[in-house]
Amino acid sequence: MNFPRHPFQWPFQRTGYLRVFLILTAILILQVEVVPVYRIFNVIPNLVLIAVIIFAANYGGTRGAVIGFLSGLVMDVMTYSVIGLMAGIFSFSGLIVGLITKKFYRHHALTLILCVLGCSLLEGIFVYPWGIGIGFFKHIWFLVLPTVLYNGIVAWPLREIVYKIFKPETLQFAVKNN
Amino acid sequence: MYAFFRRYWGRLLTLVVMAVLLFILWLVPHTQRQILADMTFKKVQVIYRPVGTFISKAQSWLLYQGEYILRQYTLNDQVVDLQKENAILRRQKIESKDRDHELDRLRKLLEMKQRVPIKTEASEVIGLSPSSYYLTLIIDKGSEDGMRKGMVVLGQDGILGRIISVSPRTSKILLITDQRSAVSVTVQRTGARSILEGMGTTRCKLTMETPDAQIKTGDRIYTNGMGGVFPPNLYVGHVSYIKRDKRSGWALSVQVKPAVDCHLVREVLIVTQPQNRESWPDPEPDVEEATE
Repeated sequence: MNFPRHPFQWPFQRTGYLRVFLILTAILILQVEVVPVYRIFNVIPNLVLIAVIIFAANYGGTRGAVIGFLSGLVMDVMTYSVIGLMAGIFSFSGLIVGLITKKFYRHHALTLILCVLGCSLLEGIFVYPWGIGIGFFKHIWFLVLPTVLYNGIVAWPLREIVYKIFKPETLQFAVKNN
Repeated sequence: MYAFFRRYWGRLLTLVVMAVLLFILWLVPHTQRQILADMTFKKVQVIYRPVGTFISKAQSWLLYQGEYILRQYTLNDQVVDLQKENAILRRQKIESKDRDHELDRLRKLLEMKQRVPIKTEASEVIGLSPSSYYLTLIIDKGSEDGMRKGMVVLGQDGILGRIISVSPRTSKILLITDQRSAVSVTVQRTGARSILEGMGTTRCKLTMETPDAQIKTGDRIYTNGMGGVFPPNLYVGHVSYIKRDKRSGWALSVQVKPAVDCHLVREVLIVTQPQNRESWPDPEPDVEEATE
């Protein structure tokens, strides 16, 4: 089965990576400096995870995993989780999303939102501190589900903004190839 | 001569008529002449008044329009000036309110510093946790300012958390509301010891050593110094919710509302003194006992 040419291949590859780097940096700064202020029901959205999913959907599984790993490492440093935990979760999310969206509508908003919901749930389950804390189901109910919902709500506008910056090469190229 | 009269006879006639009229007028007595002048004036006024009024109104309208246009120009400038002034005043008002709030916070912090007789250092919160699952704060003092891992952090009204990592200029605080946090505490009224654990939200839960039926909502919770991390007798918060066993009345689940709102705190106190027992604060009197 012949898949369409990847939208980020040469000659757009290098500029694409630079943009990914710049956008991720901007989103990381937002996540650290601005987002914590907008705490609703004790939770905040994870823009970095959403960005990783957006890029993974565009770049495919392997590159998505790499982007996820690097972003996750930064998040590990910024929070106080075990080093590598967020990196692992984000990298796994990037890989899975990259592989799934290879066979589905990768540029469709609904696909992205479903991926965000799934990966947020996955993140919430993985970061649960086993043995301590409020109990798994309470953790899911009080923290994970609100975060998943918040991420789902934020995903669409963030996707629009990221795609606005990407659009000149990516979407047009993807449409041509598809 | 004849040619002259012939040429200017009309004008000469006019002159003669006028001279005759003037002569007649001169013959009329002064008072009657005045009355005649008044009557004539009135007649003329009757005819002239509408015209005069119209001209006067037109003139004043034109003047008004001119002034209006001029005023528009100046008014526009005035409106712009007033808007600027208004914006400045609004900003000043907001700044003043902010300063008031800051003053209140600092006053409370100072009260806390005076209340707790251990050496503390003030610091400002510069960052919040970027994740829902890890409740941390970043403060603007680090190892260069004498901060060390494990130091206890206090808010305006009570205990806030402890330092978990230190960089040269900043430190990270693990809040007591985080799920990974545990503090040994005592219920002041009953003296019951328990462990205060974070719930990951704005509340903490109490894990009682023994099932307690006496505990009730509003009970004040203090640290008891066990474990050696937190000094004893520091206020933590009050019991906000109790779920009891229907038969025995024992508290199955107890929630505590911390004294400090971890997400709103802006300034903190860090306990910098080495924690030897002599320097630990004395227990505060129970509010209920004091009132009794």
